[in-house]
Amino acid sequence: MTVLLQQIFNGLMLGSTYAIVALGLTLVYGILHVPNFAHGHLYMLGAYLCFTLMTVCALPFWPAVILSALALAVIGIVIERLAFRPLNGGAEINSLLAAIGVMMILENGVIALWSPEGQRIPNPYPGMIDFQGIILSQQRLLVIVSALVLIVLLQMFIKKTLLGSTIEAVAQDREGAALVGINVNRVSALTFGIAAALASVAACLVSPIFIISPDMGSALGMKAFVIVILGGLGSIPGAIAGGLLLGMIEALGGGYLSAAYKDVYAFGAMVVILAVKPMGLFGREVSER
Amino acid sequence: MTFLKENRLYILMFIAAVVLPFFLSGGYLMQVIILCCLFSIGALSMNLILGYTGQPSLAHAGFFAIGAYGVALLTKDGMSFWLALPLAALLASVIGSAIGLLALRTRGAYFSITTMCMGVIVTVIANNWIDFTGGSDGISLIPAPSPIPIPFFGAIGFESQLAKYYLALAFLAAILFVLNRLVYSQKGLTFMAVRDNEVLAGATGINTFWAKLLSFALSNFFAGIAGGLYAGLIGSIGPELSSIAVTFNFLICILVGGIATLAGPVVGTFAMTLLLEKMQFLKGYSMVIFGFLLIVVIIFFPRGLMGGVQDLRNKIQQKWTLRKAADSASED
Amino acid sequence: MLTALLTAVFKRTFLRTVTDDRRKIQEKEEWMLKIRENLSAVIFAVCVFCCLHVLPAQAKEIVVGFTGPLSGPISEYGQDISNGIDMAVRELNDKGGITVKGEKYSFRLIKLDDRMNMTTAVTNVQQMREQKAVAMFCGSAPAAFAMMNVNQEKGKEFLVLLYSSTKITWDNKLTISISGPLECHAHEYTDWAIDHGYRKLGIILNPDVYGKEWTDTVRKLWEKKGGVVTAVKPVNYYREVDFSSQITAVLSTNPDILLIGGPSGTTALMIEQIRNMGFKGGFMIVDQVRLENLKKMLKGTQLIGNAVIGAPMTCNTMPPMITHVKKYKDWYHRDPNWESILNYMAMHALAKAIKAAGTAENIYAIRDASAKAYPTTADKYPIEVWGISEYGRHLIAPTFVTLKNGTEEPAYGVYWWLKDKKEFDAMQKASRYPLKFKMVPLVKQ
Repeated sequence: MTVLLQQIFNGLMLGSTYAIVALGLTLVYGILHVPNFAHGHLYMLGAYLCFTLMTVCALPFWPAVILSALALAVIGIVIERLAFRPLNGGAEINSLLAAIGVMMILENGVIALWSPEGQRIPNPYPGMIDFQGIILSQQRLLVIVSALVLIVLLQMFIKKTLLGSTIEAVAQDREGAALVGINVNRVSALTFGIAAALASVAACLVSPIFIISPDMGSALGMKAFVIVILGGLGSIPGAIAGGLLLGMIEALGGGYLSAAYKDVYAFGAMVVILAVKPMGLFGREVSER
Repeated sequence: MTFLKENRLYILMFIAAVVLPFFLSGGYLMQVIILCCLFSIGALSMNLILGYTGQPSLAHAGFFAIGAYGVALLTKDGMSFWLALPLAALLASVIGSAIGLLALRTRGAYFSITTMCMGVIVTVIANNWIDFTGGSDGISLIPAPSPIPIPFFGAIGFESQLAKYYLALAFLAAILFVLNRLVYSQKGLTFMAVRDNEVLAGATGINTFWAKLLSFALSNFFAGIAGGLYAGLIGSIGPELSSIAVTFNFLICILVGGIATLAGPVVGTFAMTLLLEKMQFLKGYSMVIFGFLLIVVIIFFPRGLMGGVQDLRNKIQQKWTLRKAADSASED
Repeated sequence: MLTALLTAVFKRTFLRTVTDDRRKIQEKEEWMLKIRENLSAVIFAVCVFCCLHVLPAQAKEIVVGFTGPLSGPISEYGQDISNGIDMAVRELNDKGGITVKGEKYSFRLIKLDDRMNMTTAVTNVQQMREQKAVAMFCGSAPAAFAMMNVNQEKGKEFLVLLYSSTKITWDNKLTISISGPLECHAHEYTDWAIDHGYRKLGIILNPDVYGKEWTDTVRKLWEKKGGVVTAVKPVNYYREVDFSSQITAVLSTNPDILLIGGPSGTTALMIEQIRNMGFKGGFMIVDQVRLENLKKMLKGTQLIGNAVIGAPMTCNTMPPMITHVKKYKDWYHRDPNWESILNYMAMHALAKAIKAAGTAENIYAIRDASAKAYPTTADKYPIEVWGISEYGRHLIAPTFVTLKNGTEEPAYGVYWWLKDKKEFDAMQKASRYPLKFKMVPLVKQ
């Protein structure tokens, strides 16, 4: 029983990081219809910025997290402006190519600037809590709690503020939003910035537990995409549910079944779910673009 | 005669390709060109499902790898390459159809991701089923294609690099020919109708699901052929052949060359592969620069290099007509 | 007030009046067209350049090649190997090259990057063949297999020098493995663990061929020596960072010792995560891991507790080693390690073999003369190599270090190619290493 609970805790932590990253991705897809495979690489870049701020500039953990989120927001906006906006209105597959280009630049750029070796970020909360045989590390608890806070904040931002509503409006109907006078391009840039910042925060939160390396983004980017599709493109509750589901499948599948084939379970489950529900769990039928 | 006249450009190119080895100094460039031929076939087959049928499958490298592993395992067991190749390709096609039955229920990005999951599963199996696939080490020392006996002349062997090149070239030409026939046939038109507007195509009586499935199966069959040839001609394969990076590579070649054209994927593959080889001296920076190039090219050539060539041709024609009109006007 | 201000800012940035920006669009299109024309010319020029540019081969030099990951996530590994070879080549050339049958030869190293991709590795092998490389170095078995595919073709032979502890399963006359065998490590690890009272083993290794070989070898020896294997969970050390679910699963079977290891960085993380989950037992850490890197990542050895691991090569404190380390640091601005030094030794051995064979062309003669390049003793060379086994592996004694409650104990070496006590005594007399030595049963490698 303790083992099961421990595995659920592990899955919860994995799932909440996935959820934050997928949230940003689903926002971007909803607004721009850009299959941004480079999203995981923004996550990686965020971790590296945090690492540099903490080790070279000797900043404490939280200021480093906030600064790298801000920096990533700027980088996200720049990428949107230079790589994706010129392709707006063209075929979606062309944006995918641009995303592949961004991926190559980010991953190899980080290798050139830092080093290909893995790095550690000093853990700000190394303590352990033994809760009836389940080992809960403080940093892991922090990841779960922060994810929860972020999700609630984002939801409030989108539903309760004027700016948030414009994002929703553009996501629902780009042309219509433009007609009522919303500057669609600015809103797109803003969304991209928010998504990049979210990815960065997720990266900063987990990197003290893990190791950061230039290729940490590619696998996560792929998983985030699977989650977004699983939940239904553009659906925020879908991204959260999908993230938690994938985290659980991975933790339980890796723990109880074969660890080597863990990805087969995770991805196989996705295929089956999508075959049964072709528009994802929370997706709505949308007209072909 | 008209056939020769209409296709003189292609025939000239083919002849150029046939005599090319006599102008190349050594094995390295030949090797790169053989690889280009093989990956061209892969890109062409992906173009069938992606460009002509409008279904962005991201499992293509998976099927390429199934073909490669099929041929590698069968020929290492002693089967003739010429039997193993169609068998492996058929296997890729059958697995593809089974996956297609599930995945083709989804559309657009959903289809991409569903197929991507399939691709990942192939990679994981190739990596982990060590006794069968050799795991991360892959399979090496795969025998070259068995010689073809020709009465009175002896046999054509495929041990030498030159023979390998001609074999790859012959397959590339044959598949280009088959695709050319397919794309402009009734079936090909059906595929394109599905791509342009699936609902409308359905309304005109096309069974869109079967059209997509057929295209997917054919595309995977050719991918299997490309993979099988790769195994036979290159001699060692590994699980990274099935990775999403290879699919992305096909995608890059198709989009840079020109989507939904026959020449595009071939042009794209040759251009990208040669460029990357030449950029090796840049070490770690080569991929950064390559990434920039990709973005620039796709922004300024949204229909790829072939699209650019077409635009250029149109423009020259336009200028020419204008000048002619001006001349005739001045004559008057 | 604040709300009003915010609303104003919001309106200025995110709202706009619908204006006719057709002119803007037209201007942009014209601009795009211009760029496209120029770009077409550039692309055409690049294509022409690509087709024309061919490297010429040079005379009077001996070419050696290396293909490995020089960029990408594991480029450090490739860099270390290539630096080692490069250092030997530079030393040889600084002395004016070598004289073979009265003719002076210098050496040239071609380093090619394959990003651990088989397709690129195969192309690189072709490129090196074209430049008439007499030997090719590589750091992974798949790349070596790609070389073995073609290295015995008549008239185009070359030596394959493989840096890997993997078992020799191939039958290739021209391939030499230049590092100690994995089986020797497995013997020593299991001996140590059984001696220290460990009986229940959990295995968490990479799900690749190397990990499987380790798992199978250790498992067989472990069960033979009276231990039980409680759990085997493969974990991808290269792609994953959260091992908690696998660790939980393994620890639930109550092992008292764990066999772990992959790249050093993730192995450090693995150790930290395992200790955080409350594991108190010992570790056997595979030969891929470097203790010096673990120390850096874990800020000391306290967390490692009880363990056996490959020793850093600097456990040899003889002058030749010290000069080597200093020189390497001067030249490459980083620390040498087993990767760099064993390839360095192999390169020097190759030069000696060529000299002894009296030919730079006949590869079989060079291979046959390879045995004459040894032994190298520690009073003259940084590493002791005692010859080549009949299967084609350098006779190098791996060194080990054990940790007791986080404190390092003295390092020691292990001979794996000796048949009996007599040979062992003779060997100990011949060796100049300032280390203690042990012997494991004969490993046929």
